[in-house]
Amino acid sequence: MIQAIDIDSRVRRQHWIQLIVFISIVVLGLTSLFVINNLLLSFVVALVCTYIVSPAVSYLESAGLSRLAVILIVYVLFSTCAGLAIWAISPFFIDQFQSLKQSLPSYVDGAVKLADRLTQTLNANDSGLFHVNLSEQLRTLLTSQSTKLVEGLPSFLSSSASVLVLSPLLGFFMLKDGRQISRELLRIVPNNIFELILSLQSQISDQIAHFIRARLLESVIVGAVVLIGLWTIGFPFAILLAAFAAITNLIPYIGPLVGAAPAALIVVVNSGIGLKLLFVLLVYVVAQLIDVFFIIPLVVARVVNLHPISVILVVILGAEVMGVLGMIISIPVAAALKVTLVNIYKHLTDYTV
Amino acid sequence: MVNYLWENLFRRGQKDSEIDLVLNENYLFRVLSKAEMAFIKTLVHYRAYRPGESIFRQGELGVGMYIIVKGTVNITVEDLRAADESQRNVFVTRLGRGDFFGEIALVEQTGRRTATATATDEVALLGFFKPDLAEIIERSPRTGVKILTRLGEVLGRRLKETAERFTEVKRELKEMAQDDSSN
Repeated sequence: MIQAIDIDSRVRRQHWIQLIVFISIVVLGLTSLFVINNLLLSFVVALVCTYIVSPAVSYLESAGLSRLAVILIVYVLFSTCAGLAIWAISPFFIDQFQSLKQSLPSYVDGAVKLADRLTQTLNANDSGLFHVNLSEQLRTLLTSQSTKLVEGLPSFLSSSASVLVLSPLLGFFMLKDGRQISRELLRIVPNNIFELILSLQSQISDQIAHFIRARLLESVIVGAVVLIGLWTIGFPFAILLAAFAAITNLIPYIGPLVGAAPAALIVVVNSGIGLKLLFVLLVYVVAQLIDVFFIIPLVVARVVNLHPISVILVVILGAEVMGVLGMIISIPVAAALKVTLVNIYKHLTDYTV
Repeated sequence: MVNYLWENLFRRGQKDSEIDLVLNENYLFRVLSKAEMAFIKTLVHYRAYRPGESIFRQGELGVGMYIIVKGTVNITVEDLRAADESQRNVFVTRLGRGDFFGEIALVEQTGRRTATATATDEVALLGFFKPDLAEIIERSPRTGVKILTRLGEVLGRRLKETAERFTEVKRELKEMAQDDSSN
């Protein structure tokens, strides 16, 4: 009897030690992601790349090739495709960027004139109670911000070089050794919660993979619809604006508005409020309607089973804690937390045959 | 230091050969080729248990099966209707090296363990779980089909055995009822 109690306490002590070591490793890993400069962004980008190419890797591997060879083939293929795409698009992109850079002062002037008109209307209507002068403040703000944006872009790109180098490298090792690393980590998990953690890890990984693929597909479709729409109405900077709309569409709720804002501003400054603005807004509205009525219900909503209120709250929380990146990763993180909590709760309470 | 390293290397080598042997003998995997077996070896989870330690308990969510590499495992069923607490755990069977258990969880949607498995001595097990099976099907469908076919055979055999046992028990009950009525 005494021996049985002794063994029981030794097992329990071993479980506690293993649990503490496991949690420490996880916390240490997460902390280093947040503390080391650019590591979180590189990790997120690598994760996205991994989940995009992993079906292709598995497909080729199922044909009998070794995993390392398949990863190298996929990497070479993807880099070649990406390189060719950049080579093909970059002249248009650079042209549009240069043209935008040249046109920016006129857009600033236009916006200031618009503000002038607004100021005059306001001052005429309030019979001198408030004296508003929007134009000067707006000119200073727009000039400084737009110059900062255009001139800061190359330095931003060069400062992101570490992310561009680190992400493919991390992605390569995630594809090659990711499962082995998670298996090694699982070795430390105590026996009494081993199956729970294994199941959690698998569910979370599946959910994140589906979410990333769904959101990227959504962004690509929204970008393509905007591009086709802007090209159809002969709008300038169509590629830049479509790329911007596709990227900002990754930000929940405010992303589509931010994505449409530059095009709306350009049309208002150039031609005022009129039919052209209506056409431009129509393009963005059609893109959002396709997104809301087809892509989200068919692709995204099936992946993340979260209540809309929870989604809004976690997006706000993500924005508060980590800005735009926080808004983008808030939903999958919340979904992963939900899976974890539900499974732990079931494991602890739902003990029935 | 050299001795310590040598002992660990030796132990690791011994553990590897034990795993190879158990996997090669296992009904689910013995049809696989050498390359397929090497792939399976990278997927299974080696777990060690102390005497008396619970492997899983009846009613818990289960995600896969275990193959015994070393030691013995007791399978018991909890009889919730038993009045006496000491008689609540009904012994079912004792499994030894090479035996496997919990395989139903591999194919169940939300599988709950129907019995409790406890290590009776120092036990080493190889865990093979749903995510591992899914990975095999994704990365090597041919291997996945071989394993699933064997798994189907095992489950079919278990079902047949249960049906036979059920018929036997029914017949015994009938005979007992006839004996009672004749007395």
